[in-house]
Amino acid sequence: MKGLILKDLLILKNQMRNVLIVIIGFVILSIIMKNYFYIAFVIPFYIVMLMISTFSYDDLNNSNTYIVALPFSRKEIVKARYLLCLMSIITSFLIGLLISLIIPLLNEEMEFASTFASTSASIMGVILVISLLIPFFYKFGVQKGRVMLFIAIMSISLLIGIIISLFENSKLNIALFFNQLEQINFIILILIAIAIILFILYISYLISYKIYKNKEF
Amino acid sequence: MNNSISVKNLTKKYSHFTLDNLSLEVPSGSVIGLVGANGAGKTTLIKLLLGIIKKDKGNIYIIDKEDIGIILDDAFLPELLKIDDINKIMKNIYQNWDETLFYQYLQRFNLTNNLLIKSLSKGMKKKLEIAVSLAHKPKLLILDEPTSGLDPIVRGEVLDIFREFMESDDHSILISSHITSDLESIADYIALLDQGKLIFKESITNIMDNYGIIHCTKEMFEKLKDNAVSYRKNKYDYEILIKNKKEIKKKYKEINIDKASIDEMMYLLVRGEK
Repeated sequence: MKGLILKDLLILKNQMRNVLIVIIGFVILSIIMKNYFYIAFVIPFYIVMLMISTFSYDDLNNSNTYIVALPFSRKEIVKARYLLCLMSIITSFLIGLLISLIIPLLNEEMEFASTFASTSASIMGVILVISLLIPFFYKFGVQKGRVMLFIAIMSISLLIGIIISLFENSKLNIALFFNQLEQINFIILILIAIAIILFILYISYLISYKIYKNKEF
Repeated sequence: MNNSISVKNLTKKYSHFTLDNLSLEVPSGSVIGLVGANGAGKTTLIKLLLGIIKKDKGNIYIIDKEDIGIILDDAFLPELLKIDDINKIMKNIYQNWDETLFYQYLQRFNLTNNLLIKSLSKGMKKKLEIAVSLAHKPKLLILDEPTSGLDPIVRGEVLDIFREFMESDDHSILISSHITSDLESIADYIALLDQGKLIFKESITNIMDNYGIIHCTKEMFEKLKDNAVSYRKNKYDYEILIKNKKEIKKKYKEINIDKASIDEMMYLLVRGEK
């Protein structure tokens, strides 16, 4: 399993120059635009893009077929992918923390707590996207998976839209619900959020394994 | 004798193709050459053996994957890796990975620079795959078209390496190839697949000693008909595959019996009549 994670990391390392150029570009852009939240959102997003790219490299070179033929169980192969995801999530949290520490030094108007909260929120969003993406990729491959994911997100949004409009019609106040949430301890709220999101990631892993177990190449 | 691979009544159904009730053994110490037209089921068989696809029916016995070296047709690690990366990765995959041996093979192949796989020529890439397939000291090689796209010189080098591999008694190879001359020089047995069925399996020695091809007239054909394994009526003559060369030679002294090359045999067995 270590070999599989290493494979993805080494590919990313060979692409490191491109990765660094893009990140530096983002940093310069946000300095010019004086919008520091920009980095906070873009970097996690970029890390997801990198994750997606490891999937597409495997697709392009038929290495899926080769890897399945090596002495791994299918479970290990899926697990390695998710571990890599976890590693990249932790990395982006650390980067987020670093950014949140630096930004208040550059701009007095910004404070650590709000910057870190928004970075964390965007990372959590990213984990949700990853949790959705990976099963789709395993099921349909990268190209088709993207289209299928788009369709899925559209349908989910539509569904949520319908539910919300039903709520509005029944005169329930959603804003009130969120206001009440705010009164709960901030830290507890974050812990709950992390727990929920890790649980979603775990469910995503189980689904991916189920798909991958019987996949043929 | 132990088998490295033993397959019984193996069946895999696709909508357009079925690998049908196939039984085959690869005894340790032997090289089995898998031949057949495109789409005959060679790659399907290899994929089933390696667990890349799942069987519908039958039994597969194969030695532990740790002891198998593989070369697949058109599938390898991502080409965005460098040669040294491959070493690092494989070191963490195979328990018996021998770094020194890997670099020895590369040296022998003149692959000494740490290049991106992407930048290697087709032949170089194949050589890298061969080095990878051998560097964990496997006992069985499963090779799907290992020499396709290689020039005759490189092919010779590669076959030499496979011969060296076979110097150990407990080693075996299952090799599929369209280049049947390669198989003639390395294989102990030839197994012919046609439309998902194993239609012929024979040792090379037996083929060389007893099989032959006769080109003859209709009258002669009528006399020899009972001896034919398979035959084909051409525009001007008959072409007969026989497996009792010596007997026929004794009986009909004037007949010219050609050596049965695998290509001609394949053609007669697949397209001929019986």
